[in-house]
Amino acid sequence: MLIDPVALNAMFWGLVRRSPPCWFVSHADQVNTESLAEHKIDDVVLCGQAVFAALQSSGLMPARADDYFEQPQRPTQRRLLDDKKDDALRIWVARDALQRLDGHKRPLLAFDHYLLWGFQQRINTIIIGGIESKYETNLEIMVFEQRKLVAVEERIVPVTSRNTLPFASELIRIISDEKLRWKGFRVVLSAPLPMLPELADSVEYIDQAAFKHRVRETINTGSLPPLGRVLRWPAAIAITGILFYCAALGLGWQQYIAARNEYRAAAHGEPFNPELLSLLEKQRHFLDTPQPQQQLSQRARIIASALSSVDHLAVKRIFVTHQAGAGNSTLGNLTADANIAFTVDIPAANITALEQIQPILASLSKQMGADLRLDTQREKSDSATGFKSLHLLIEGVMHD
Amino acid sequence: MIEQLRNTKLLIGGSLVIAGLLVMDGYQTYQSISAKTEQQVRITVQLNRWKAAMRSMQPTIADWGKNIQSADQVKDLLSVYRALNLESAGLASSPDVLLLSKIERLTFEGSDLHATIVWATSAGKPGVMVTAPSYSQLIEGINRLATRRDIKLGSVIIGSEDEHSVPQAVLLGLGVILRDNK
Repeated sequence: MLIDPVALNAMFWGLVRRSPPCWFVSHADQVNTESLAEHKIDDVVLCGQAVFAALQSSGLMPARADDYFEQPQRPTQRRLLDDKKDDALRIWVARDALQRLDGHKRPLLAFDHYLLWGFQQRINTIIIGGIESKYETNLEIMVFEQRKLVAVEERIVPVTSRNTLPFASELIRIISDEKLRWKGFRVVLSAPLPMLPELADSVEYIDQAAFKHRVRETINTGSLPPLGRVLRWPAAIAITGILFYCAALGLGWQQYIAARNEYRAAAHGEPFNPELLSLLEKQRHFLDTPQPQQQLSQRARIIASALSSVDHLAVKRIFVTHQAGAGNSTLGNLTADANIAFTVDIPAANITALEQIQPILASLSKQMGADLRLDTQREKSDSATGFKSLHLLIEGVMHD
Repeated sequence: MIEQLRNTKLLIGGSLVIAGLLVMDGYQTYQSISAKTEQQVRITVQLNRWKAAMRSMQPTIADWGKNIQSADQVKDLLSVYRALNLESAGLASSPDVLLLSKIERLTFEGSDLHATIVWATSAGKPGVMVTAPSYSQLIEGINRLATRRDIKLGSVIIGSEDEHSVPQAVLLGLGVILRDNK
């Protein structure tokens, strides 16, 4: 393994914070207002009777399990990927101790500290930890083989270090038992147990080495906080999602409302009708387009003025149109392209009608700026005077 | 306890899934609201542009109303005669012989201009007969009539075969444009 997670963990905690003094609590009675005030800054470390630990494989349980809260299981070895779990350390913590501490301090466990220290040992090691009470001593013996916790044993010896000799002999007996059982294993004695000179030959004392760094693991205190702690991250994630959703919705909605309000402000007044605009544009165009009918009177004037220059010519009717081919039946059958026509009477001369009319037509065409042609001619004579005249219908195309 | 740990992982996983769905859905919802917003903004821009164009069209509305008479005042022959208002051009005629030949929609370049053309004629004539004291006044009257925007005039026959008649003209294809009521 390239990275030792234990070393990493220790290094991290070592760098981040130095452990404050430990306050070892083995019984709920130790926790009261005065002791809490006295150990204000200390870390509470639960051990002794307040804690029961056993390997899962041993099948051991506290005698009165209802008095304990079981804690999350601890692995028996440290691996980055903890996939081959063949065993686990089960830990139970006394309810009353947890309840007394609840709201004041978050406890640590001596077992967690022994475990971490044990994992760090490169040689096979037996840790003997524990705590003394008034008349007896709790011993917690943990055996590490190749950095793996292989055995856990709790023992209560009915002596304390105040009775030096019986205590020392009892410990020496236990140590030699263990040494016999686990051959070649190093045996160490850890705080909060005291060291006695009598034990110097049998055991190595590591003092507070296991408690140098704070080892905080999940503690189930049985009250509401665990649920809160369990839900903390899921809730945070879910709330982030909800917040994002609400923000997206709110932002989008706000933008939409702003756009809609802008529209409403703009829509105030005449209803939107794009066709009305195009209708008005066409009406404008219609009003601006000159009407061809405006040439009619001008053309009539030109025709009248040209005709008045011809001697002895009587103008009867003048026809002007801007719609050639339409409404032409009035004067006679005009050709389709004719836009002017007129009827005149002229006294008949002693030459043929065509000979007489030809120069007149030529002159009129020139004056009017039009192509004129004779449409029909009719000779009539006044019955009273015998005066002969020609009635002519002349048509033509006048250009602008 | 293992159960609880597993549940924690499950809870975190579940909450991640839920959060992911919410984020995705939120984003999609935002997108769709945004599309609506954009559409709204586009409509507003269009509307504002239209309103500006409408403002610039106010003279047209005024000109149209001024030049073209409203159809709701024209209900019978006499009112058509008044709408033609030939007298204002100095042309005399008789309302008694006036006839309506056709009523049709006014179209211009293929579009309906929201107006009607009432085509008029005189009884027994191809068009409406008008008279004036002199031929020059007659032609001047026709000119005035032809320049009116609400008058349609196709052809004119000036004069008569009868030498002794008063100066007269027949207006062929004479129509008056009447705008629709709004």
